[in-house]
Formats: sequence, C-alpha cells, structure tokens
Amino acid sequence: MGKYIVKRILLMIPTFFAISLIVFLVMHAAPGQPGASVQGAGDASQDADQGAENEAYTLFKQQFNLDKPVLFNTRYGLSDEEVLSAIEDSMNFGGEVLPGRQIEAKEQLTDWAQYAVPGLLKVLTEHPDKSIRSRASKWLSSAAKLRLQYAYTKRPTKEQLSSDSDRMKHNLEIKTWTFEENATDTAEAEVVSKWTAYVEEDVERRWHFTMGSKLSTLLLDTQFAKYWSNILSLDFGVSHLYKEDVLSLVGKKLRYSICLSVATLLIIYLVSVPLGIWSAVYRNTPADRAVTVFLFMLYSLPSFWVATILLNFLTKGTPFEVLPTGGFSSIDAGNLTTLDYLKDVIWHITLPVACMTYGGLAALSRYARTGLLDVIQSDYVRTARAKGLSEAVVIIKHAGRNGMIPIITLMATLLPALIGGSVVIEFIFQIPGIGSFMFESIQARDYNVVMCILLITSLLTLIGMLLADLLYALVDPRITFD
Amino acid sequence: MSEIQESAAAAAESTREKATQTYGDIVWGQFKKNRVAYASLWGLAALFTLAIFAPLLASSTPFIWTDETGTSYPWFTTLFDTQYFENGVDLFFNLVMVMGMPMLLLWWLWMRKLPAKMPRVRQRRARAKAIFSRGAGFFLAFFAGMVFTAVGTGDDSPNLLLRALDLGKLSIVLYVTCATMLALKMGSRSVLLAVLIGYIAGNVLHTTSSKYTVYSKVYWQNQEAIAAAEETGAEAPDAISAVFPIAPYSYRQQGFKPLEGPSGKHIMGISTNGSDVATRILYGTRISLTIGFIAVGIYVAIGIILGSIAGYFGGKVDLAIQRLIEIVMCIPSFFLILTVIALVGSASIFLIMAAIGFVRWTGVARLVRGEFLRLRNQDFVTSAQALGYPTSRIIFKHILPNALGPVLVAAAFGVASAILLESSLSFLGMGDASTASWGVTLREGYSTGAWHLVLIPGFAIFLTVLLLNLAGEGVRDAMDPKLRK
Repeated sequence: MGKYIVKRILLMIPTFFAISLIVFLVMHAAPGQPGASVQGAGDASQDADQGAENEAYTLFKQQFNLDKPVLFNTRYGLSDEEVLSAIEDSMNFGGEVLPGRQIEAKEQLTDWAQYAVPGLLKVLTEHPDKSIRSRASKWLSSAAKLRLQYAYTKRPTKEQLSSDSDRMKHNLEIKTWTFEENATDTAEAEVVSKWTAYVEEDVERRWHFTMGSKLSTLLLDTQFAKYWSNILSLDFGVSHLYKEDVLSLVGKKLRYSICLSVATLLIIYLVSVPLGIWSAVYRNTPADRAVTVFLFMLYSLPSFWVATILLNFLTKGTPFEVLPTGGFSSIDAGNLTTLDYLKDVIWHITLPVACMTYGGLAALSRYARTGLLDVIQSDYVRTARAKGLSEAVVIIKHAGRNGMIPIITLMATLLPALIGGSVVIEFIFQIPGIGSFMFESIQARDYNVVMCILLITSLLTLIGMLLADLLYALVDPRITFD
Repeated sequence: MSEIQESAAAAAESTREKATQTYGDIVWGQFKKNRVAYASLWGLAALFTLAIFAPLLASSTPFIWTDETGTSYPWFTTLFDTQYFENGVDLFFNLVMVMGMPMLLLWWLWMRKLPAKMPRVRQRRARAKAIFSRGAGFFLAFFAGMVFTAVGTGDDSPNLLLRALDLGKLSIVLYVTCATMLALKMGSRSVLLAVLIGYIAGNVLHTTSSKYTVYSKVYWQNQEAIAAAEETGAEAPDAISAVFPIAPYSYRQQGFKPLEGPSGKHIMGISTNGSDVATRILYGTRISLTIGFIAVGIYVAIGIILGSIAGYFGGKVDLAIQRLIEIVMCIPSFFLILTVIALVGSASIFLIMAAIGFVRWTGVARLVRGEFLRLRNQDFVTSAQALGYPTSRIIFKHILPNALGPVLVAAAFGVASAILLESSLSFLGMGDASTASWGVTLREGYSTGAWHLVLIPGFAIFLTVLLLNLAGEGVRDAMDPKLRK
C-alpha cells in the first residue's frame, strides 16, 4: 500500500508538469501579449515605436520574462542576416516596410537582447550605410546590457546589491558608446573600436555557445522554464489587479469556496444516503417512482436559473425579503461575536448552498439507490434475514455498508468539482470565492492569477483522484494495490 | 384444430421474427416500452421541428407583400440573405427547412429501389417508411399549417389555395404537393388530420386576428418611412395586403417598449433592448441544439478515435493515451473553457462548440477504451484478424459498432450538459451576444429582475435538458439486459 502511494505521488509530478505545460500553452496561444492590459504597459508597447530608448517597456517585459520565447529558445543560432534585416525593417530602410513589420522588428531586437550582439557588431563594422551603422550602435548599447539579477528580490543581501550596482555601472558605461548619423568618422571609429574590444573580451563567456550551453539555452532560457522555476519556489507572481501576491490571494479566496463546498458536500451526503436507501427498500413502489422522477427533474434544473429565481423572489420585494442578496457575511461582521458571526455566515450562504446542493443530491441519491440494489439481493443479505435479524439491521448494517462503497469514493472527486464548478453561483450571490475570483481575473486578463488558479485546482483534482482510489481500498477490503 | 395450427404458425412466425431481430431492434423495442423516454424523444423531435421551421413562425419579413408597386415575396429572399440572417447556424437551419422535404423524398425513392427479397432490406424499408411518414407528417403539418395560418392573418386574404397558386412560387407548391403525395402513399391519415387541424386553426385565428394586420406596418423595408411618418404625424405608408408569420418579428429587431410583460401581441413579453422574447426563445432553440449536438459530435469523434486506438493496441500506446486522458481530466473543464473563450476575445458560438469539444472528450475516450479492452479478445475479432482484414476495418466495422451503446448514452447526457454549459457561459456574459441564446436572455432577466425574462428562457433550458436526460436514461435502461421486459 505504502509503495503504491509513493508510486502514485511520483506519477503525479510528470502529470502536473504536463498540465502546467498545457495551461501555459493555452494562455500563450491567445492573441495579444500577456500583460498588455496592464496599466501603462499598453502605452509602452506603442512607445516601442520610438526605438531602442524605451526602457520602461523593456524592463516590464524583462520582469515578467515576456522577452523570452515561450517554449524553446533557439536564439543562440541567430544569424547576422536576421539581425540586419530586423534593423533595416525597424528603420523602414527600403521604404516599403509595413508598419506592423516595423514594430515587430523593433520588438524582435529588444527581445533578442544579448543574443543579437555578435550580429549587431557585424552590422556596425561592415555595413556600407552610415545611418544603419549608427542605429546598430544604439541597439548594441541596449542589447549588451547586463540584467540586474536581484531587482525583484524582496530583501536583497549586501553582496547582491553590490553585484547589481556593478552591473548598473557597466550598463551606464556602454550606454554612451553610440554615435549619431551625422557624427564624424573619427567619433565613429572610436565607438566601433570600443565595441570590438568589448565583444572580443567577452566572446568566450557570453557569445560562444557549446553544445551544453545551447541545450540549456534552448530549454531553460524560456518563459516556461522561468515560470516553473518560480513555481518551485511557490512564487506565482503578482496579481495585476490587486497588486498582491497571487498565492496568498488565492489562498484567501479558496477559504470561502472550501467553506461552501464542504457545507454542500455535507448536506448532499446527509440527505442522499438515507434517501437512496429508502428508495431502494421501497423500490418500484409509487412513492419511489415519484421520488425518482422528482429527483430527475431536480437534476435537470439549471442551477443558475434556480439561483436567479431564488434571488429575485426570496431576497427582493416586501413579502419575501427574508435572505440577504449576496456576499459571504454582513459588512459589519467584524464586530460580531463568534456565535453571531457563524449565524450571520449561515444566513448568508443558505441560498448558494441550496443551489449547489440539489443537483449533486439528485445524482448521488441515484447512485446510493443502485448501490444498495446491487447488494440487497446477494446471498449474505438473505443469510442475515434468515438469522432473524430485524429488517433495519439487515439494511443498514449488512447491506448498507457494502452498498455505499461507490458513493463514498465519489466524495473525493466531488470536492474539486464543486470548487471548480461554482463560478456561476458565486457570481450570482457575489461570494468572494475562487470561482468569482477566476471569472474576474479572466475578464481583467490577470494572467498570473488565472494560471495559478488553473494549476491549483488541477492539483486539487489530482489529489482528489488519489484520495478516491485510496478510499476505495480502505473501505473495500477486496481491493488491494499490491 | 385449425386454431391450434394457426397459433403454432403464429408462434413460429414470431420466433423467426425474433431470430432476425438485431440488437438495435431489441433495444428500440425496449425503449419504446418506456413511455416517458419515448415521449421525450418525441418532444426532442418537436424541438428540432421548431428549430428548423422557426422562420415560418417568426420573421419580420412577410410571405407576400403587395403595395402600389406590385407584389413581392420577401420571406423567401431573406431566407439565405446573410444581411438578414447573420448567423451561420440560421442559414444552415434554413437550408434544412427548404431542402428537407425533397431530400426525404429522394431517400424514400432510393429505399424503394432496393431489392425486397432480403428480410433485412424489407425491415429497413418498413422502418424507413415509418420514419418517413412521420417526418413527412411533421414537415407537412408545420409548413402547410403555418402558411395557412399566416395567410389567415392577411388584410383581405381570399382563399389560401388560390393565393398560394397565385404566388407563382414553385417552392411552396412543390413542397406541399410532395408532402401530400407522400403522405397519401404512406396512408398516413394522421398527417392529413394534422394539416386539416392546421388549416382550421389558421382560419379560426384569421377570424379573431384583425389585430395582426397592424404588423404589416413593421415590414422592414418600410420601417424608416414609418418612423418619419410618425414624427410628422402623417399617415404611415401601408401595404394593400400583406401576409406575415404569426410572430412578425426578427430576433434582432428592436424598438418595442423594453421590459414590457407578456401581452397578446408579444406572448412572452419584450427584452431589455426591446426585441420580442418569444422570437428570441424560438431562435434560441436553434443555437442550443446546434451547440449541444455539434460540441458533443466533436468530442465523441475525438473520444472514439483515441479510445479505440488505446483499447485496441494496448501497451505503450494505451499508456500514453491514458496519461493524456488523465492530464486533460485534471484541468477543471469549466475554468479551461472559460479561459480559452475569454482569451480569444470574440466568442462566436463556433468557438464555444470547439472549446467544449476539445476539452470534454475524456469521458467518451475512457468508455470506448474500456469497451475495446472487453471486446478485442473475443472470437469475432480474432476471426476478422485471421481473415486478414486491415486494422482500420476491424476497429471501425467490427468492434466499434459493438462498443457504441454506452457512447450513445453518454452522448445524450453530454448534449444536455453542453447546452447547460453554453447557457451558463452566456449567462456570465462570455457567450456569443449576437445570437438569441437562451442564456443571454436569462442574463437580462438576472440583471433587470423582470420575471418573464427569468422564467421563460430558464424554463426553455430546463425543458430541453430534461428531455435529453430522460431520453438518455431511456436508452440506458433499454440497453440494460437486467431491466428487459
């Protein structure tokens, strides 16, 4: 058993990795740059027109690793021709470049950053046109910059700070190594010689790619790899909407959703198990049929419709103004005593829980009914009756225990489904849970939050599935995993 | 003595009949015994009919329009007008409406040509005849009944038949003639009865419906003129005579008093932006059914292909596909669909269908895989392999038909849940707002609290989902040998 659990948990790691890959690809297949809706970033992307000088936008992209390729980084193989054509297109050199391509070429040059340095140097030294050489020198001064490594670390140490300030100095220095189109030849020669020496000095370390460094660049210097390395340190990034750490936000919201789901689950089981047993005992009587039909209709009722009706008829208008229109607790709930707070919460979540309950209740009591029907005709139940046990003991103690196995194991799969499936209910009743948070973030294109929620709910489902299997073995001794 | 002989002969006949019964026949027989499920199948057929013939019931263009310049037939020209019916779904259903009858006729003629000696063929012909007579019944009753009814709403409509001939529009005449001919051939008296009822209802409506003539004023070509006339207080230009559908509105047409409750003119009231709710609900049937069936079609196809490959080949292929299933299953599908639709930005119903189809296939794949694992070692498969049939043939012709039962049940429930999913997306405002989806209308009800906008679309969703669930349950029970009656 222990071996099995370890095996399953180990298997969860590649599965989770693949899930994150799929989620990541879905997010990046979408048109539009992630973060484009962030305040200011939209303007910044337009400002990218203005050339290499736009630092704010570049910094923004670097912070979120948006300058890197999504999955595979092949920029170590960047050819000189590609760099040249990007520069020419960005300057509209031939005069026939489409505006879209101009912006794209600028983005490319910004994103390539230091991978473009050798190509840029070649343009700088060999290109016949002076305006292009001048532009290449400007791009060089921004592309050869060293990244500040600890700018986004919360509490950097002294060594880290000093290493960053060294890098800053270096960046400031190379920033001046440019020349204008109308500069004299001597000024140009000076800049060119500086750059040649600079690149030659560092060529082995920074621009010479061995097989190993190619491979690590290919796989590791990408958005996906950076995201994963962040996940491993439990850093899901910052929510653009709330300017807060995503994980703690999700944790906060998850509390409400789990509270709702657990209450729902509890009621579902408390009602559906006795109901299922009852209708299995009185099977095929008119009462059973009526209950079955009724449950079937309940099952087909769209929950958002029921929620809207309840909201309109139980919370608004004078005769029915019984329950609150939404929220998880009253606004002034902070001042209440614990007991009063509990009452307040229960008063608030009555309607949402009712809406989330009835569908699952209908389905589960059907499962309970068939589960019991499967065992009620077996030999050992007949034996128990023959022993002279009372009907109640036979049904509840003998048949019930075996008949309920399938529905107990359903619990583990139901919980994540409830958490994930409550978007509409939380939306209608304005409960600040994970579902409405997801909806809100999707609309605001808060990518970090959406990814985090997708990954965490997937993880919950994975764990739920494992628990279901284990629970199965626990309650049914006939099942072993060894 | 002879009686005994007769009964013996009858028994022998019935056993022979039983021997030729296929599995499908047995299941169908069982299904028919379940009255609720059978009735819900009819209900679904009725929904489809409503969806197909929606323009006959509700359209802002008249069948016939006569004014000083002459007579025109705008209804026919707008059927395939992409300006009027913007949505591909509507155009598709209109095509089905127009081509349905001739297609049925062709199919039936083809079935008649098959040699009648083989019992199978005879059976199929009998079944085709049954389906056909009913299909013809639906088409005829609806088309004829509605046109009759509609003609009754004209200003000074003379006898309908004369009017229809006067149309010169071959389509209607052809249509009705085909249907009548076939219905007569089929001996389907119920069809004729339906037409008769339609005709009488039309005439009754006519006598009570002088108010309908008012609507000739909303004919789309004259709308601007009417508005101008109303401003100046002059008499609005009017047709000499016009024949409109019962509900002379289109689902995109606005301009009625917003949020007005149900009345004689608008039996289901008016929506927030001033369009007729009854028309929107009617056209919403098209959207819901299309979304349900096409999305499920996509994922059943994916599920069958992957599931059968996994189940048939086993080993590493199976392992890989199983992992894939597990991965997709773990991502909460509603979240994923919501994300995909939101990120793409403009949610068309085709995107919603595709999103549902590509996310929800795991259940079907697991079902098919299980069935294949069960079937692949049985004798009929081994013999097919020994005969040297290609693998694709063994998979699709020999094993798959035996594995389809559970898939059918899953598909029926799947259509229901896809319809629910689409309406909840629309309810959240993530759906295709340009369509008349029920979820969109319900959302208006949620935000305004108008009870007719809450109850009516919600009930439409509920009814459709219930019918699908009942039918699915019926198929499941019919396939369960333990419950056989």
